[in-house]
Amino acid sequence: MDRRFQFAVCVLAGAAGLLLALRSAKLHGQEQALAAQAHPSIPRALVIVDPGHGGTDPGADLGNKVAERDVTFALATKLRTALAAEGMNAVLTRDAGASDAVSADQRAATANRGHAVACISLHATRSGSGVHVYTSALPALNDTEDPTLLPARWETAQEHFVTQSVRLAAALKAAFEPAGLPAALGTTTVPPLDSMMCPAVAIEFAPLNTLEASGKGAEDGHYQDSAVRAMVGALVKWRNDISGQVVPIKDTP
Amino acid sequence: MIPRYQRVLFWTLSIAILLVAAFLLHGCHQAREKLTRRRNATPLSAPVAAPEETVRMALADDVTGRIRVSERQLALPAESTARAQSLLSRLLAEYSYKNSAHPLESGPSVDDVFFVDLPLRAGNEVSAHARERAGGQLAVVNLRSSFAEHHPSGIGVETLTINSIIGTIYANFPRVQAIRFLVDGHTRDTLAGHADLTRTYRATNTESRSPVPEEVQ
Repeated sequence: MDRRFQFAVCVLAGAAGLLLALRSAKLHGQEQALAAQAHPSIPRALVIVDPGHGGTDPGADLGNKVAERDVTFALATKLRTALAAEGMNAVLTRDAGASDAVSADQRAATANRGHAVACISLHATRSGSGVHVYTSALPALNDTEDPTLLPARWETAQEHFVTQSVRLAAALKAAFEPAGLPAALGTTTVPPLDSMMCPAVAIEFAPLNTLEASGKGAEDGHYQDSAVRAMVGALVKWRNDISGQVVPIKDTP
Repeated sequence: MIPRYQRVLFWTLSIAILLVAAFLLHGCHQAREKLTRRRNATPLSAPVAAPEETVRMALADDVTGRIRVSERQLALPAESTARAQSLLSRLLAEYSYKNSAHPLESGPSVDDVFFVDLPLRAGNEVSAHARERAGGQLAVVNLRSSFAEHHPSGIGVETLTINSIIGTIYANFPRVQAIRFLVDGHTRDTLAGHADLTRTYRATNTESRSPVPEEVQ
């Protein structure tokens, strides 16, 4: 009798355990489905952040013994942290402590391996004023296929992405202005940009000449925080905009 | 036996002499660099026999980020390479004037300019792309390293300088279809850390090249 009772208790306990395990697995599945619904169909939320210069290359002298290399790295790390808070991954093309300068080709190679939704090259200067968002000066190609699958010359790989890059630049400009950072768009021929196979822009931060922030350079902490907030807002919007579209993103009428 | 105070005095004076010598050498080096940079601050010396003529200069403006073409009356040499060198030197010298819209340091900027007939031949092969350019010329602008080293660093300011040179060549030398840059006769990655000097630029009207891409205007 005792043995039968013990056997029955064991069977009941086993069955209860099994039921609990099944229930837990079901709840976990539902949680994952809900999480997926919160960010529907986001293909690749990776952003490549390229802090200009570095190592033995200090970049521009921003005054007061501040080098462009240090300002761009500070901006890049702030941007990476802020993007992580928004559920986006950011990969930097260089480390702070690297003794050797990372070449433009190495930066472009890092960007191209990542298949990122956006590539942002950061720069700072004492010349001019406000924020300048540059895209490649290469002529745009109107591809009908996925540009990531098309053959491309290293020096002109960006030409497949120029249309998307121009849109990304416009989205960033639209985000800078409400943040009190006067922004302008332009085109340029800067080494890593033309070899990047992703929507790519180079952002240059020059001193502000607005009444509220006259003379503030990119080394200023408040300037950096405003710039990072604006960039994160634009990149989150950019990710959400492209998440529902099929690559390549064609021109809208 | 030399007294101790004399030995101390001797070594003190010796060290002082060495320090003063080092200081003077450093001062001489700085003065020489300064003089070199300011030498030929006005690089265009007008040929006596040449008549003045109207030339077009593509002038950069840092505030607007644009290039605007302006006419000037200049006396230039007749020979094309000397003419190009004089014109570009004068263009870059304008940026050292007070209240310049695109301030650059004064000093010699353009060493020389070469014109090479296109297409360039690699062995006996002529590429299809090169064949399209037949009849045109490649302008090779050889800048001075002192100019590149003292050029302000920044994407915008460097791009404007390059576009200013390209626009001026385009406006005054219609046969030129492509432009390359050298610094002291050698290729150089960038002008001052940003603008690419390794590639061949197409000669275009940089004034019409809007800083704002057309799609988002």
